[in-house]
Amino acid sequence: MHTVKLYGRFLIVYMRSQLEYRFSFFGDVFVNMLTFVSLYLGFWVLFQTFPSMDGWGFWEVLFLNNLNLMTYATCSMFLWGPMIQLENTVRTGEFDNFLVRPYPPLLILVFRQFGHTFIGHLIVSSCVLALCTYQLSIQWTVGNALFLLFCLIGGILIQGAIMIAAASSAFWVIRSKAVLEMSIYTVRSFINYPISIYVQSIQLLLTFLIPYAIVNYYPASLFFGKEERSALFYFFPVISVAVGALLFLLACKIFSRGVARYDSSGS
Amino acid sequence: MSAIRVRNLSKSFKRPIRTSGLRGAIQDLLHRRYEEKKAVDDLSFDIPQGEIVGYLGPNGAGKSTSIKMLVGILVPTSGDVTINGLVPYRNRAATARGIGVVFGQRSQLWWDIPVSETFQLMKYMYKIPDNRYKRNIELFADVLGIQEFMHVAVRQLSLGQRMRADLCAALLHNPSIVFLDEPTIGLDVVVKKKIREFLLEVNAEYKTTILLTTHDMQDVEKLCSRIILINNGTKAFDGPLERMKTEFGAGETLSVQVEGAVENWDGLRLLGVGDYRYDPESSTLTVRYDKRESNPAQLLSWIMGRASVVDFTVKPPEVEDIIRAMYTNPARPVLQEVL
Repeated sequence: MHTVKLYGRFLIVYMRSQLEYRFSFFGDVFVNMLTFVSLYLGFWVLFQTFPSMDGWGFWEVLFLNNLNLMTYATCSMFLWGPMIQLENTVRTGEFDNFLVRPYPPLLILVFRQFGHTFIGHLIVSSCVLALCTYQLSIQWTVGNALFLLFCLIGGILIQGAIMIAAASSAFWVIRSKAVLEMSIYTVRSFINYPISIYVQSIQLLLTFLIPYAIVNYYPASLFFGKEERSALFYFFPVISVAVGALLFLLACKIFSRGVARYDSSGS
Repeated sequence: MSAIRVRNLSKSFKRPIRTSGLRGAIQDLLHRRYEEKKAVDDLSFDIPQGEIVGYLGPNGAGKSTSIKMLVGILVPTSGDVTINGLVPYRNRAATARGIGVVFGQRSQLWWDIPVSETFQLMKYMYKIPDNRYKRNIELFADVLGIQEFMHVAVRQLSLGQRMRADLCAALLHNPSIVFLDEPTIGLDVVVKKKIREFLLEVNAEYKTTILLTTHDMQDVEKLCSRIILINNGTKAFDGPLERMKTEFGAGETLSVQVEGAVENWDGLRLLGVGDYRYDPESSTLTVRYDKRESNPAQLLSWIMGRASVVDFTVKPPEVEDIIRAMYTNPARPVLQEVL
């Protein structure tokens, strides 16, 4: 509880320092909104030529994408900044500061900054979810709502775990930023489309090795009944959260392993 | 129980050996060889609560590496450290509550926010009770003179102001042990003095144990009752400052700028001077002498009798000089164990 309160304090201080440059603050949010609106417009253009992608219509693919964006943005608000900078923090020895605090270093890293730009992502993805609801006439029954909620939580954990694990490579290799960027941009871009369009090896990779498919493909296909709505529909959200939690713990473990290897820098 | 207990502490780093040239680069890529560099080698000492210890040694001697092991930043290769009875790298959070850390070269303040807000964050992070926080701020701000820049963003502070704020932030939670790595580096005389007064006051008020590294002999003389000297990763001396000075540190340097061509200064030898050098270019005579054997006034008057003196300075020994003296004068004992 104290930790949550402490985070609140950090957040207030961070926001106050950011709002000093008010134009830049809202500018950041707005630019990010534009980026994703244009990405989705691109999909729309694409779907004017191919009305269906392996059985998925435009709004369904948009919903699929949106699961990715929502979970990515939520975990990025906390993790993207500190993880993308970890390479630098470790290389310069600035990481020293995080090891002499009465909280775990990962927590202090997260506390020190907040990705306000991802508020833009969240605004866009909320609007798109509302649009999809309308276009696909999704009924938000208790079952549907809980399904989505749990899958979102699982997705956030998986995205976060991949981010932390990839960034932790900073303790082993020098160019960890490249590893992280490859994981969260290149590999993640595969799940912009239903993974059933790829060869089997890529499907397996995205299911078991870097399980991005659990973030959006499986929940979306269950949600739209691409497969028969069976017991799996009720069971999957639990799997998603469990896999997410497990991976997240594993990622934290990798991070701690890395910390034990940390060499600091001269001086 | 000792505040700091160090036993047979060692740390080695693995560094790739690089071969020069393109061929070497390709060779290294295929078959990388590592050399092991021992930064700290079998170090042991105890520091009781309330002592101020000067942790000295030349650059690269292993001071920073050992301090980083003491505070939990680095994991030792072998050996044991306990800080207030805790193993720092295993209980980072618990250890951190009882220690304060200041690295002179690296600020832990938050760049974009005012000093006062950083202090507030420290208050919440270390769960400092209101009344204690208020009392500490009053005491510290007064001695360090922080009030004048309390509400200025850290990035706008001068080096001296930043250092004072850093010190204050590190001590707000009343740590029982404080680690200071070159706290006065690059600061002017006035700020240095303030910082020394502050440390003495904190030590007197709270019985705080202080371990500090410095290259400034003034820091050592004003603050430290005990010296631990590190060289090549091992302990070279451990004992009271006075003993170090009488054993190794009585050397002073006298620089005299003279007019008129005098070439023969050999007479200085008769006055007990071991080492002197005359530089005709700047017509400066540099004399190194042992204070116990030669008297600077006598030396100067002898020189004045032979040439007209334009200017002169007397330089007290730097920590480096003492260390150099230890290693270049084999007649004196090098290793002194007090444990």
